[in-house]
Amino acid sequence: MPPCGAGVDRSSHSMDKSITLPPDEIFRNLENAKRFAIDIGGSLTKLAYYSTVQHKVAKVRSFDHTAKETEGDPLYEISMQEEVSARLHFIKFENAYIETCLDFIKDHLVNTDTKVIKATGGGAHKFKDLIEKKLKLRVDKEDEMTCLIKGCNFVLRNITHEAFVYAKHADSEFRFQNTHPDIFPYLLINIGSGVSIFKVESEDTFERVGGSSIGGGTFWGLGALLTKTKRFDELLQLASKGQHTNVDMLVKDIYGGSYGSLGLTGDLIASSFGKSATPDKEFSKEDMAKSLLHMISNDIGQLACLYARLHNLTRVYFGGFFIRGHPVTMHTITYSINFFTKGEVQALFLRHEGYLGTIGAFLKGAEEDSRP
Amino acid sequence: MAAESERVDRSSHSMDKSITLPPNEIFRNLENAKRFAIDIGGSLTKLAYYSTVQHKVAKVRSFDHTAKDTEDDPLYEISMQEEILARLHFIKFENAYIETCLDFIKDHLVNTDTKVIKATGGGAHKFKDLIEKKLKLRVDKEDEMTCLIKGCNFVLRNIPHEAFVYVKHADSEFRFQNTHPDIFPYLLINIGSGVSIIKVESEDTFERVGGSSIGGGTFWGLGALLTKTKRFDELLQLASKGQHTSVDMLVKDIYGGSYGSLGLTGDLIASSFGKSATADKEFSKEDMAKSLLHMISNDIGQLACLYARLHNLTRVYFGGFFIRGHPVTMHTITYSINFFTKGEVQALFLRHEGYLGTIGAFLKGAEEDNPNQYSWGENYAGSSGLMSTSPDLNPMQRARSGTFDMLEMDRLERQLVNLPLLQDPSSYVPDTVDLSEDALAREYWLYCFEEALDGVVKRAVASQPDLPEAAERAEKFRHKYLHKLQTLRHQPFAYGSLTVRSLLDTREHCLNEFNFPDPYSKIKQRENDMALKYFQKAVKSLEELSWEQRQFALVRGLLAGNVFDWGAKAVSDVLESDPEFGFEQAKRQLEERPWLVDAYDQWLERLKGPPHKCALFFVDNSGIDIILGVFPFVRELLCRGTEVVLASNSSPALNDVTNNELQILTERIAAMDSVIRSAVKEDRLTLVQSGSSSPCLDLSRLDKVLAGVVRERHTDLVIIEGMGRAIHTNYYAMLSCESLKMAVIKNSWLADRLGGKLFSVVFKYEVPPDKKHTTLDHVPVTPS
Repeated sequence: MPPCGAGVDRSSHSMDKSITLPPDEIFRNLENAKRFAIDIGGSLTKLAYYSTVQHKVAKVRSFDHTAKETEGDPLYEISMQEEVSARLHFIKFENAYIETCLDFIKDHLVNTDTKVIKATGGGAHKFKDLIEKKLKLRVDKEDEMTCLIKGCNFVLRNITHEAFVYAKHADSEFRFQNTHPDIFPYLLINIGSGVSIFKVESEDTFERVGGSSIGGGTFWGLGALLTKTKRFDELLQLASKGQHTNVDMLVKDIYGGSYGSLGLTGDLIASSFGKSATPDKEFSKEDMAKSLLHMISNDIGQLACLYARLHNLTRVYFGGFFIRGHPVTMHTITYSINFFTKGEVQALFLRHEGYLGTIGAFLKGAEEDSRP
Repeated sequence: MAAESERVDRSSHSMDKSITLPPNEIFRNLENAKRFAIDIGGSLTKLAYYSTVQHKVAKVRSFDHTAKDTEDDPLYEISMQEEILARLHFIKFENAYIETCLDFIKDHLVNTDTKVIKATGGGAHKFKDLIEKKLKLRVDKEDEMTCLIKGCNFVLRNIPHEAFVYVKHADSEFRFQNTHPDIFPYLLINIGSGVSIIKVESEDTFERVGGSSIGGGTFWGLGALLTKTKRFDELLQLASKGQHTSVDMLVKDIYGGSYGSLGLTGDLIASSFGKSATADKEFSKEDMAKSLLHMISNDIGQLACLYARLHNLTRVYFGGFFIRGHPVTMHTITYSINFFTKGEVQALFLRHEGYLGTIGAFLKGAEEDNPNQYSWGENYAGSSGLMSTSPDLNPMQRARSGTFDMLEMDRLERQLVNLPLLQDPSSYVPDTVDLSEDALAREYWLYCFEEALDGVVKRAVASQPDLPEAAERAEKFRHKYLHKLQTLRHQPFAYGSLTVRSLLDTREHCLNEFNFPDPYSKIKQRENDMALKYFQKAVKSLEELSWEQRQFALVRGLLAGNVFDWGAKAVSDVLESDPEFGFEQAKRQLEERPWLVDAYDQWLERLKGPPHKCALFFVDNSGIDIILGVFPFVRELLCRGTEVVLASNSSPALNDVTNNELQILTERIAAMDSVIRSAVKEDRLTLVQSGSSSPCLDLSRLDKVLAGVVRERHTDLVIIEGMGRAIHTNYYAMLSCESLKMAVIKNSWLADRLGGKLFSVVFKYEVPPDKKHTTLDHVPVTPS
């Protein structure tokens, strides 16, 4: 009965079939690809592979100046050469394209001696047979949370300006953070259908310290019931246009103003959906969606803040499909964290948050390969 | 935008107007009411007032015996006097009745010079004008949270078994907690429309450390939107019938089973309402309501647990209209707390949770009276008890009137504290058997008290031969007590754990309610007179015995004396049919050694050692018991050089000797006996009030003066006598000094339970582990 937080989203909404992916633009350097990893979420598939790229490089070579010194001779010569470099590719596409993509990969996968594809995400077991049939690779499942954390560590360490603070009304909405030399310890709040809260202390030490069943699935599920809108993005659209004060009971609705002795301002939400309990009136979809979004974001914000205080952590990253670049949710989460921690903890988001699982799965595979 | 909380509920659902409140039953003693306080929530109004109640009390007054000593004159005279008692009244009713109630109050408010009514709660400003117009009192608003905390402190301190743990599948759903000597610090989670989390560190120090907007209003609001059901109670009804698994996404719905590496079982909720996102199907109202209830309860549970950990608190109380006695809610909150704290923190609920605000507001207004300086006691006769308004649990009450609830608290004359000699005050449980957990025992005792009711009524009438309306009052008493017994049959937890003690106390409260303050006064008087005549003879025959014979005779005498107890059915039958039933006969009736519980040999060995410094003796009945049983025993202790403190009831209960009576008896005995006389004179024999008016004994609520005397005199022996004090209560009480518990079992059912028979003897002598070596040192070494 109680909450848990699984970082998995899933949906079965039909995709717009008229949009087609340009596969050759996306799956680059497939010929020499090796080490595949795939992370299948509820709506998005993330693929990772490693390949070698032949590059032209300009090389310079010095002439021997000791033998004879002619004034008109250049100092060195330039030549173009071929060089092979290693590159990691990450591709994200909607689940609807998974079959097309697998076909394309199969056709272009020539030089690989790879036998295995690492897979993670809640959809991994659902598409296991399809992948094995199409690619003739054995699907090797990896623990979702381990992949997530591994991927997170990787991007925090290797990508400059990976993390950012979201400030809705600032000149620049995104305030990128400089890479910290020491990324540990940190708290990762993964908001999928539910919420999982991880305390990460080192590369290999992490613990799920908490979770909640009030997550993205709750926004989606309750939102669908309340507004008859089935698509997640549309729900967010509705929310961005709504007024929560029509549905929520504010402090001033009860006390006629602020509750000074407790330091509560009049505009604070006293009770989410508190106004919909008794009046026999209709509430707009937009207002209900907005109220729901605030309710969930505030709740997660408060939990994040409490776990951060309890574990003495100041860096708190947010990820999962509920966040995934949505300005509305980033804003409400940020607001809530600021409120609860009085600015002591900042909500941090990640540019490549959607790739964490597949990066982690890929790294797991790479580690195994390099083992003697 | 963020969360806050308030403890106000509000609703505009129309009431069933055909149900009317019986106002004269509810607003009692209004004539002398003063100091009003009102807490108006969204749906319930709670009113508090303080009034004085005129009570008949039986007073005893000694005659002047020096002038002439006639054989046939009674020792003392009994007179009925009027006494004024202070009582707090609390009434809870639905807002729909507010106007009717205000009218009623206005009409009956005669003798008051009150100008102000203290008000709190979200509805206070809404009804301000109405109240001022109707009552002609100025409404003085008080801060809600302050009132809430003040009220909470008050009930935790003054009402035994106020807090309880809810256990759905246990034999008894309510596990009442003992009053902790120190109630601070604690966390109070108040779930009104929103949630407030308050850390309380002392009477005046509290802080709102957190809160959430996901509270009762969210359940109500979202529930109404999802199910089109507008009433809070109906939503809870729906929830209790639903299956959350059809709406919630569980861990196993995602992973096909548990998520082992994270320790998440398959049945955990991964995402509340997660299944309703995409499934194109209709969900039942019941299932959605259940899922919503779980979502909210779990969330609050997790927040409570996090704040408790963050502030290092283990006592977490829940209150607010979301809880208010609803079993489904209490269950889900409890489950959630257990889950998140792995059992380290227990969710505690309060019996009078709905009254906290109004109690606090009242106390604010009454600060000049220093209500916190007194001890208060719940009056069982005037209080409805837990769940009186739950239609599920109490259909009887529901049909009788609208949903209203009352709480009355008497200001006790004496301030009550723990016996300083309790080994561990926080784990002390007075009662031996919890009848709410023991269905068989409950059945028996409820039956037993119902059976005995005729006799009690008869005796009550007989005690007031000069008052013609006594019979009518006695019938009212019968009706009231019978109703209480019926209520307790349905709700054994109404006044905390149901115990023989609470049944006895409820009867005493009901008798007092109808001005039968002391139905046994005349019987006690007769027995005391009769027993006194034999005192010197009894002492003389004891003195003729050898030391060892005498010690045994004293114990047997004390036990035989204790057979004389009108409270026990078996004995009152014999006494009434055969008044000649004498002391000697009682001795013959006693069980031969070895007794059912027999530590006499150890006691005798102890007596061969050095005397005790001071013995505290909780005495039982009037007459033969106190005069021919206790006094010779006390006399022997005094002769050994042990000081004695005799603790007797402050006011009457059954035929138990009261402090006033004991004073007169002691005077008389002192006049006859030089040992007692010099002991009284030299202050080696002291009489104290126990602070109690119960046939049982709660060692955690004793007169402060008694506690002081016990401490000053370095008391090292506690003697508890009689079935009520040593068996129904305190049988398992652990004391930090030596103790002697003596009783004769005068109830065949109880005898059966304990493996004995009628008139079996319990003689329990206990030495706490850390005192054992010292006493052994003094035991004379005899060559083997």
